[in-house]
Amino acid sequence: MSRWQCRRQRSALVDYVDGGASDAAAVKLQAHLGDCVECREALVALRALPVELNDVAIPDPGEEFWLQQRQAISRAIRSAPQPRRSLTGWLAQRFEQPRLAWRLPVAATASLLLAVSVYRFALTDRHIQLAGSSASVSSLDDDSLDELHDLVGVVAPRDESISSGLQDDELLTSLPLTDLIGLSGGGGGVVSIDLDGSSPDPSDGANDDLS
Amino acid sequence: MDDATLIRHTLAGRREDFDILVERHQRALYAFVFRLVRDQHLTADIVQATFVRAYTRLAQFQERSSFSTWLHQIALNEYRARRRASRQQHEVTLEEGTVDSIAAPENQAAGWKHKLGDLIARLPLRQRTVLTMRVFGDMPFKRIAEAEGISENSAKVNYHHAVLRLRQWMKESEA
Repeated sequence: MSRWQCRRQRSALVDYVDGGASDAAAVKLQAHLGDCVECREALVALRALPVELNDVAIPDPGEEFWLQQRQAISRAIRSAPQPRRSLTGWLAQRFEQPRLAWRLPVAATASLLLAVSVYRFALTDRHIQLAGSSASVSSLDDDSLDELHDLVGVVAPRDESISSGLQDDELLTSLPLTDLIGLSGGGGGVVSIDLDGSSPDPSDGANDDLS
Repeated sequence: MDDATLIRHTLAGRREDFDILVERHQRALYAFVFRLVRDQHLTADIVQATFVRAYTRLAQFQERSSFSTWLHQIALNEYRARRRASRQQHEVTLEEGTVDSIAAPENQAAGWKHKLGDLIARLPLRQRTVLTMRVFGDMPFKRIAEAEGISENSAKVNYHHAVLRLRQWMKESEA
């Protein structure tokens, strides 16, 4: 077997002994081992040597040594500053996933921003709904009614073939403003209805958006 | 009480709980360091410095590995720092050891078990540390690679070399 092929199997051999080789790598390695005496010997050594090494005891310095060393360490740490967990460390400890530690504040900030955005949007939407529900067509003055009449005529031309049994003004005043707003905004656009008559003249381009 | 609980208590101000951690890991750490440095006094110094450093940096321990593995890494760093500082001549000689030096007549007198420390010490430094961390520190290759600043594959290849070289030297010692 060529040395090049053996070199490529070194890491795989270690994985194989540790039980960490994938099925495909194990099959490939076993095929190589069938042809290579050197790698078979290496496999035996990788399996046996750690056990043999751990069987060899080191000189025991004795109980007195262990005790004195513990006392020395104890004295040293009592003169050292008290360690304290940082916020990042606390988060990592808390969630037991250190990589999340820096992500949590980011996620919390993003969530807060999202919540604020949703809240602001809801306020705006609620403002329109409140404005619509608190006002009624019958409370509008003549100028505003004329403007509204023109606006409804543009966005919802009256179908002459359908008889409602009501006159235009009667029909208008019977509808709540929210229905009119919903009618005019049905295409997804926003229609601004200026109740105090300060809106620009529809003829100067304001109704371009409605066509 | 497990290590994590003792660490939390220590961080909360109960220093006596760190004493329990010391007692629990003292011997294993000593054995690990002794196999690296082969000197009882130096081993004792490194072990003591390791525990003190672990205490002062305990807040940085994030349980990505076991407390024992973390201690081994600190000890290894401590060993490296001292080695850099001292640059003792015998260390250089050990790092540059070869198979020939192991095969010298005085090393063949006894079986390999009596020479194990010398055999390991004669491995090139990278192979020695990887082997020591793996066999005596029971560290996964991923952590070894991080500690050594090498790829995981390189750590495995170094380990492979170390084992085969040791095996060869052991056979020669027994011959």
